[in-house]
Amino acid sequence: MELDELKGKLNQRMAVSQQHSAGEISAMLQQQATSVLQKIKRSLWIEFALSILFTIGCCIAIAFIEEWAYLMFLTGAAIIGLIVSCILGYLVWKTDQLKSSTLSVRKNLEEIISIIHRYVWLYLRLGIGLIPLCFALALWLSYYPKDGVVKPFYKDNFVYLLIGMSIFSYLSFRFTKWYLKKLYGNYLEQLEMLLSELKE
Amino acid sequence: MQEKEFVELLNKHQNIVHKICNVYMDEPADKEDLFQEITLQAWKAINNFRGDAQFSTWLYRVALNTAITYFKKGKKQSTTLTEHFPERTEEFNPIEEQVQAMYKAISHLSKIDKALVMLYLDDYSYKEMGEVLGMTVTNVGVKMNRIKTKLKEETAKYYHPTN
Repeated sequence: MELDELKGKLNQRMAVSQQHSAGEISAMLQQQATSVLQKIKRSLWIEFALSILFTIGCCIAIAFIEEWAYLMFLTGAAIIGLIVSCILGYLVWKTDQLKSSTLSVRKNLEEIISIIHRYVWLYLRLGIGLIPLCFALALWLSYYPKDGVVKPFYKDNFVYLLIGMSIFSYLSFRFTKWYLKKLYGNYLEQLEMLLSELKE
Repeated sequence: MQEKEFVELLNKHQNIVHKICNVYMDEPADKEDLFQEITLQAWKAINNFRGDAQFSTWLYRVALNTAITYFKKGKKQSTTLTEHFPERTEEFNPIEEQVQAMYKAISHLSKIDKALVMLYLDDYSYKEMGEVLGMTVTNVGVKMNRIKTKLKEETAKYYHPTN
């Protein structure tokens, strides 16, 4: 039995469903989309808003704090916040520009895969990169000479701190990787499989 | 395009969306979710519809893109597609049985192959199918031949005229 022989019948059967009224379709337009891309867009907007708030918060604190070490730390945090805001702003803009659903299936898959890759890459780099950076900045500030007096350097304390920081960084790296894999890893794998099937 | 105009167009062409939901989802609730997702994606993208192509082709593209990249967490994706069929009665209807067997075989195809079959059943040319999926005409031809052979073999497993 061939596919062509049953074409008409199959086509008829596939469309069997309870029809929606115009009112029901209108109501659907008020709902929120649930696709992964929409979720990423929402997350990016939230993170963008939070990083701007963080930067503003740091700037406000800088205006009121006189302690030099805190001032340096907050300035560093504000600069990092500003850089992160710019990166997130760019990603929000890029994701908003994407109208992939009208592209061919292959192009659409490529676009979605590339956005998820970029998002995951950003998360890993920011999550992992910021920890040692903040730690090193805090350490440097705690030993920085204040009013011409250099604080005594305790080698043992430094070694313990370094070991602690390394363990913490490693664990948070593993955790972030596992979390991202849980969130997007399987989805990404399935999309890549579909893409390779199209490229066969 | 105004919301009212869009709703009217979608209402007129909703069979395309129903077809895709039936082929890609099994549970009624999942079909309803996918229908809603396709409706939303089409509404979001409607400004990209220039009118030089047919609305049905444009909708097919949006709906297939949405269905192919739509995954339900923790749920089996394959569908048996048999729920629309009446239970087998004493009266044996060979055509119905064959359609049911073919339907079952289609349900075991991959998401991409399902898309090809649906476009093929709707009389799209290989060139049009290639444009929707992003494949060359030769590739579509090769894939369609493979799918037809596979369906023929699979259908034989489910169709038992002597029963």
